[in-house]
Amino acid sequence: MIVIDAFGETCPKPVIRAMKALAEPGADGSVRVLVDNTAAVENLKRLAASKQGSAEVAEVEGGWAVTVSGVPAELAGNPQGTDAALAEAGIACPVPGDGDAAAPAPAARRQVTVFVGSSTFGQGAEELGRILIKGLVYAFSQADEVPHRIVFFNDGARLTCEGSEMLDDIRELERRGCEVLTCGTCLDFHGIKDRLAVGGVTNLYAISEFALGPDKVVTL
Amino acid sequence: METQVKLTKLAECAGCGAKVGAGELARLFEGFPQVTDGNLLVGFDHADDAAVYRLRDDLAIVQTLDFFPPIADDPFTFGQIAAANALSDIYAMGARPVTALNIMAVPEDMPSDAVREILRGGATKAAEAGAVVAGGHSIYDPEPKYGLSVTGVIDPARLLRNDTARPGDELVYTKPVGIGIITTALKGGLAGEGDRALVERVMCTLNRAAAEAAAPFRVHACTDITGFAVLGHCLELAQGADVRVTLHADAFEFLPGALDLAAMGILPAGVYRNRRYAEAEVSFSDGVPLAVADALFDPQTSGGLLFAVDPRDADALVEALRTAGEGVPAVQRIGTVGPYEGGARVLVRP
Repeated sequence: MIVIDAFGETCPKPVIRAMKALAEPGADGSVRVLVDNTAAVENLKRLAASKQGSAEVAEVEGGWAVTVSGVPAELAGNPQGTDAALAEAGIACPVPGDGDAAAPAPAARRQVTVFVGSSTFGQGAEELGRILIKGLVYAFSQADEVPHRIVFFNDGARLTCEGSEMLDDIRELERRGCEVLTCGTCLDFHGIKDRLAVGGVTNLYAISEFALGPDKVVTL
Repeated sequence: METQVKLTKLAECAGCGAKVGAGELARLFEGFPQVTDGNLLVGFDHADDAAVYRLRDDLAIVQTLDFFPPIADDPFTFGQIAAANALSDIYAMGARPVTALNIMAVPEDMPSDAVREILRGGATKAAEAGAVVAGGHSIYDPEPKYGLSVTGVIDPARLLRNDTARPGDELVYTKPVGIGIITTALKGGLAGEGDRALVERVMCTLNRAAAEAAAPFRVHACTDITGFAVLGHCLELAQGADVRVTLHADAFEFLPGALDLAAMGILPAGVYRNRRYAEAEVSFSDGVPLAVADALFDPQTSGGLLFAVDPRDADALVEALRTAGEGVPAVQRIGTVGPYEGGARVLVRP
């Protein structure tokens, strides 16, 4: 059985980790969670009931071991169970990764760094290019897994500055954990450094490390 | 530009969920020396929202202080919520806020822009309330905290207390319920941007419009619903006036998704603190789902006003609150007040 050590963790975290563990291939409808506060015990009991399983609580040193079991397969997986219920309630369910060894991450995917060197996407009609880049960045911001990082340079540096139509989408990317960076040399060149409205500033030394690093690199 | 600060990451408990339990508070203050003063109209011995001191026959000052760790990631939003929450105690007494002092704790390394935004949020709400921000005090602390100490004024004859409900009164509440559940879900990444926008708008809404809409009517008692949840505050109302409160679970408007999240166990620890404090005095009829019961124990940061209104004025009060539009996010007739005949103080029916 998957055992999660959630000692020291409060409110939603033990439940979210249990939900993730139940969705693992091999979990077989059960998970044991070690917690050190009664709120977590009660929350896990409710999770078990909502998934038609049972919860058994045993005292352990410093806390409790809550064993959730008998969760039917169709309710264990997030796609069939939780996500559907959440979607019904109008709630998206991007369970965040929490770097936890006990609940192994789903298929390891390479992280992606996106280089944006233009304020348009593709060559051709400029107006179309502007519509396309805006649509693409919006799509990134709504993706299940946002890029690890986006680097704006050359004419692309205008997109992170005041006056850009895409600031909200880029802020959403940043909020969801994407690192947003703009090339400082480019901001200086265009004279817009004081108008940067989202993310941090970077340099070509760092950019070279991104290009040669472990991330998959996509250049727009 | 500095990377945006995610404020709630710095806080262990969110908003009013950080409140010390009501039972714990009563024990803490047991046996303290007390100065008696006939002009202190509402003080410690009443579990009310603010202290009230009479200066003249027709003038009293109302004093309150409220602060908590970040309940929102955005500093400006957090500042607004903390201020709206602190100002709410003044409105709950029927008073008008006149001055406010900032109370703030910030980590030494917090970017000054973020600190400024928190204060700007507070100033914005104080201005909306018509109160002057007259100063304040700030200290360094690894966990940020912000709030206001607010002074209001009122004619003592018009004071709204929370222990003066009368049998026959109807109960009307002004904000949707489930604020603590949604903010907990947001912390866990289980609620979306639409949910965030809605819950933050609800928390930022001053109780001014609700208080003003209620002013012409025979409101016998009033309180704001905050950390002790709907049931904790209803219990105080019932105990204070030695009456019984009957609530209709179906009459509540819950924030979208709140009941589903509650059913899955996405509940802040405050739910269980409130349960422990109030459970013995609350009775749930069969047919009230556990998720609804949990949501009624959910701490409401910057919640709405609960009015106990003369039944003859109930329709008119509801109409006036609805007319107030966005200033009153949800108008709900949640129950009634009756004589206490032993047993549970608060009944919850489906």
